[in-house]
Amino acid sequence: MVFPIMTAVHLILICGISLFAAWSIKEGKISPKFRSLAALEAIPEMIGRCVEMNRPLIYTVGMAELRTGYGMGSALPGFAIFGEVMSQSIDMGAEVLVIVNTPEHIPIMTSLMEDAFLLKGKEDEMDPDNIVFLGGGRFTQISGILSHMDKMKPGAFLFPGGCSSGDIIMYGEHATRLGALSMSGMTNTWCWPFLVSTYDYWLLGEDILAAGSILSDNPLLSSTVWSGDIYRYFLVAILLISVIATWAGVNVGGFFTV
Amino acid sequence: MTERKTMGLVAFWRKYERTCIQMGTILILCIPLIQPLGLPIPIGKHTRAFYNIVDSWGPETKLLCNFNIGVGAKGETTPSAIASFIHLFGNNVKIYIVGFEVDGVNVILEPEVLKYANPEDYGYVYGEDWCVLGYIPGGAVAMQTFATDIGFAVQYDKYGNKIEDLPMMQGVNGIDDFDYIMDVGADWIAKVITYWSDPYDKPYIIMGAAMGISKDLEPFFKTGQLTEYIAGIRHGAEYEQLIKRPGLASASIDCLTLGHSWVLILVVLSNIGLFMKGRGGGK
Amino acid sequence: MMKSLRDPTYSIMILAVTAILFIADFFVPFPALSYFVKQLGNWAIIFAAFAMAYGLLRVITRNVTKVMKPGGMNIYSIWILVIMLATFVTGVLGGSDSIIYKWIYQNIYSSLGATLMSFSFLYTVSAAVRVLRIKSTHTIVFSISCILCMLADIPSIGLVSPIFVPIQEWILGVASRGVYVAMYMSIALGMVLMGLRTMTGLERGWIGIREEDQ
Repeated sequence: MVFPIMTAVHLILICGISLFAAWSIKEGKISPKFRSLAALEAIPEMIGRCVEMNRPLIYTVGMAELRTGYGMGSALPGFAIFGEVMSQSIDMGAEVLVIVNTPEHIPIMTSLMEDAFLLKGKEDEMDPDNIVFLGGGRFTQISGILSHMDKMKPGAFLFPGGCSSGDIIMYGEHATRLGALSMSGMTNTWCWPFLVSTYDYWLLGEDILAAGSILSDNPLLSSTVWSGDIYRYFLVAILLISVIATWAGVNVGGFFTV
Repeated sequence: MTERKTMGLVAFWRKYERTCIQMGTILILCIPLIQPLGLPIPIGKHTRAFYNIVDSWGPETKLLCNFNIGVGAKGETTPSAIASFIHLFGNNVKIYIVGFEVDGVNVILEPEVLKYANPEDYGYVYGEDWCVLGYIPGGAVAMQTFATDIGFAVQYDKYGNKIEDLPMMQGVNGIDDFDYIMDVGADWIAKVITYWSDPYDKPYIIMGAAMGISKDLEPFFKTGQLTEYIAGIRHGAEYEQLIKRPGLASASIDCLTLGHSWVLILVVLSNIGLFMKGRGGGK
Repeated sequence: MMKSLRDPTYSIMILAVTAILFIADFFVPFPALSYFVKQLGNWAIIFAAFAMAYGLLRVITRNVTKVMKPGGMNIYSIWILVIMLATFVTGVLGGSDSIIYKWIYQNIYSSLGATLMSFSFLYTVSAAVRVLRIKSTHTIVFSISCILCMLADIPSIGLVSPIFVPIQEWILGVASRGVYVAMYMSIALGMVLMGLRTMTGLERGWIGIREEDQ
């Protein structure tokens, strides 16, 4: 097996840039600003709509096993956004129905919900029956979410998490049919065409991965997002050098893929 | 009177638009079931290249087949898998089947694939010409372990035989000992490339990816990390034509053609209606 | 004084150590380390199995509560409990290779699953009609490229005209390929950064906010 030299080099580089970014922000040398994400800014609007229409908000992180890369990438931002949604929902008085389809998420979502109510001093208002576990299978998720949508007629449907491509379009289309606002986000690239075509708001790729940082007030969190931007400039520079070198007849591809 | 009738139709359409579209879709797709149309199937370049690759293999080729079809995608992927296995058995390729998702080797392999592509019909002996190493839980970690030490990753095959007792496993300890890697159902493409094909420099082909994922395979194909692939019912039907064994995929092509055509007709009609509405042609 | 076990420090420490071990194993496949990492992976699977058992208990509790509620029997809850018990018992007693278990899986679960999946095409058709309406400049480009790609996906289109397949290949292989590759790279980078945030304890969305943290 060949030792992945360039992988190690890039990993060390990313860590170094992250440390530099964290130090810069902590010392107050830099205060980066990030573009706003329409999906995150629409959350208060969605919750407000639920309150006005006296309908619940349905939130789910879908099928995102924490043991897999895609699952982690989709589930962790989903938890971060859930904390924010719960906080705002409690403030505005909206009911939130949480649909869980990965068993590992049950204690996490329950804990996040309890903590949100605890922080607001409204622990008596928490209803444990508002966390529904569907069984863990793909088809139980489809039938469970669609049936809950039909029964509860939500004002908004939020799905930042993990899903298969054919399913995501069903939830979005059904939410639209019921007149609910919908938001979704995932890192699964094969779901993006369906996300964009059927949801009102979406978070694609890095947007959802950075969502937790953007929602938080912690400047160190936003430093990692900024470090990603610095690394991206570095990658663009490498790409440009590679393109020019390739035009000039120098093969640099082999060097960068060792 | 005509104007009232038109307005009634328009109001009906607005109220039941989705229902009408979906009922129309079901009716359109029923037509080939009642009367098969027998539409021709031109062969695409991916399918032909895939066929040529598999055709070049022989009895000395050791193929690792990563069988990860899910129940949801089996309708799209199993026809290609059946056709590919028929071709592989016809060329006497040594096949090692393993799965990292529970559905594939446990539920779909035998009743949906091997039932139609029976290795015994080609004189294959289990343990000497083909074997099923079974489902290995653990995802990426299991794949990484499998790559370096198969005996550590799995001790018994699907049927309870010890791996070390299978004649074809003698001298096969890791990815290095295989000639090709074939993936059925492309959900694991990133992991296969990261842990198997790139580190050990093994050619990697995909048979039977779902059509929705096939567009994501192009970047890997263009960079050479993926040698070739066939995806969806359409490629499966083309492959069946090449091996001269029409099957499930060929039977589904009429539905595929009509379904696509119906969507396009609806899109065009929808835009015509929108255009006319914009010009005040309707309310 | 020892912190409460609910203190997030312990969770973050476990996560950081495990992550470092896994990363080290990827770069330096030391046999003893590989063995330990494999065992950690097995532990994760066992934890997930326990989580599934907890989920099973929740489903049973919820549906039994619904059945016991006064005001009429909930047929769906009764059916869930019956079929769950039947599948569980046959699986435990006969294993996944038993005839009854396989029959349930292939004839009920698998068939219903395929049926549910077939709904996705109906939803896709209605979504496509709604989305591919030309209302602005962006949607003109969007709709025309979608229509051209869909035309190329019709299996027999090559007999009508050979032009559509090369157009689709250009759209997918040239026009949108750069975007896809860039998005893949961004996702990979985002995952690494998310991993770093989680390992260092900056990302705490999955832990929740404790009273001690206030």
